[in-house]
Order: sequence, then C-alpha cells, then structure tokens
Amino acid sequence: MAPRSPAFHFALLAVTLGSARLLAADEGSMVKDLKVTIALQGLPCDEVVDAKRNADSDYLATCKDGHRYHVFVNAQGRVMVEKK
Amino acid sequence: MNRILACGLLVVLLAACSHTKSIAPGPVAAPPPAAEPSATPVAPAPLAPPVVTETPAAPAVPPAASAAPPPPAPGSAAAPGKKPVDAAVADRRPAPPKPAAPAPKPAVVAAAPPAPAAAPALNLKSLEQRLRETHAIGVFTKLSLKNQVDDLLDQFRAFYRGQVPPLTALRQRYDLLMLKVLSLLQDGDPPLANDIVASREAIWGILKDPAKFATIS
Repeated sequence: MAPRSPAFHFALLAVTLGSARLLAADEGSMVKDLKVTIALQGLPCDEVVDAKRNADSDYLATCKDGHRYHVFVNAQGRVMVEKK
Repeated sequence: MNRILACGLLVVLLAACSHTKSIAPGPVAAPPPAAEPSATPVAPAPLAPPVVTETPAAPAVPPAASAAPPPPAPGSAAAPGKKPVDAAVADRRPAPPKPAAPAPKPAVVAAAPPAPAAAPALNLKSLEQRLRETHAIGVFTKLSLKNQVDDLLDQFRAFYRGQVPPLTALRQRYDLLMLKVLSLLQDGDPPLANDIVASREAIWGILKDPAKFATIS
C-alpha cells in the first residue's frame, strides 16, 4: 500500500469540506423557504430554528418564538401550513 | 523525476517563446545587429536556425517599413518632407471631425426607439418560465405562490360569471400578490423583478379584459 501524497489528503479534505458546506447551504435554503412559506400563509414566525423532515415535501418547522408548524403539500398539490 | 522533466520542458518552451518575441521587434529596430549574433550561436541548434532564417527577412522589413509611410503621404500630398509628424497630424485632424459629427446622431436615434419598445413587450410564457427556474424562491414558496395565483384566477372566472368579487377587490388582491412576488425576487433575482414590474399593468390589462382573459385561462 503506497503512502498517499499530501496533495491527495488536501484534495480529500477539500471535497469533504465542500460537501459539508453544500449540505449546510441546502439546509439553510430549506429553512428560509419554510419561513417564507409560513409567512405567505399569514402565520407568525420570525425565524425557523429547526426543520425536521418527515417525508418528501413534508416538514415540521419550529420557529424561534416557539411556534411549530406542519408544512406539507396535500393531495391536491396545495401547500398547507398547520399550526401544531 | 517527472516533475524535473516537466520543469525543464517548461523552461525550454518559455525560452523559445521569449526568443520568438525578441525576433519580431529585432528587425524593425536594428537589422544589422541581428545579422551579427547569427554567426555567434553554435551550440543551441534549435535557436540558431530561426535567427539565420529570419535575418534575410529582416532587411526586407525595414524597406517595407520605410515604404509604408508613402501611402499615407499621397493622401495628404502637401508636405512630403515632414513625413512622421505631419502625416500623423494630418491623419489625426481630418479623422476626428468626420466620425464625430455623424456618429452621435445615429447613436441617439438608435437608442431612443428601444426604450419605448421594450416597455410594452409582454411575454407571459417567458416570465412564467423564468419564475419556475429562478433560484431566488424556494420550492415550497413557488408552489404556495402558484396556489395563490390559481386562487386569483378562479376569482376572476367567478367575476366574469357575474358573481360577487368586485373588480376593485380583485385589483387589490392582484397588487398584494405582485408585492409578495416582487419582495421575494428583488434581492435574489433583480432582473426578473424589474421585468415583472414592467409587465405589471400589461398583465392587469389581460386580466380585466374578458376576451383576453379567456385566451389565457
């Protein structure tokens, strides 16, 4: 087993950090999307601090002020926001 | 080992490139010195031939360069004695006035028509496609906005069937929906937001006209 060069380790680290950053960015955009969706329904939520994914297009969002909302797409294709 | 070979190859290539650059200005500046060093290099075989082959061309270039000024001179045809200064000045003086006067007029004339022509242009399909593809709005938000657009269109259909919502109320709902869309787009996709603002009245014109509304619904 030949020892890996420092360049290989550096590339591996860069790929790992890049993937983590992409995932974080994706999660951040999802949180923002949920916040805007809740606001579009006229419901209060200053900031989404946690988003738990239940299924495809089905999330449980927790707001900073304590409100919790079930955000999902129903069978008719409508976005529904239900207060929990 | 490979790196050393690659570096060596790179150095050789760079040397070759820098040498070809020095050949080009050489003939123009001083043809006789170019002929002298051609005899001295013996060891570098690839470098020597270019110098030798270009030395015959080098004398040919200065005559061409000295012959080049006469073509502008017949244009001026006034002072052949002061070629370098007068020819340049004579070329500079007549050139700016000719394009200066006619050039700005077409530019102003050409710039004026697009401004009014761009405003009434409305392409609903293009706007819809851009809204679908923009990254400024998330998936849930896009779907939620689409639901609200569909609700508004249903209210317009009810209005044209003679039911309750008055046109003023529909206008308020339309404005509110536009504000929602624009507030979402203005930071993430300003060009699309600007295009929607420009199309705002045109879209309302389609909605409030039963004949035009029938074509889109």
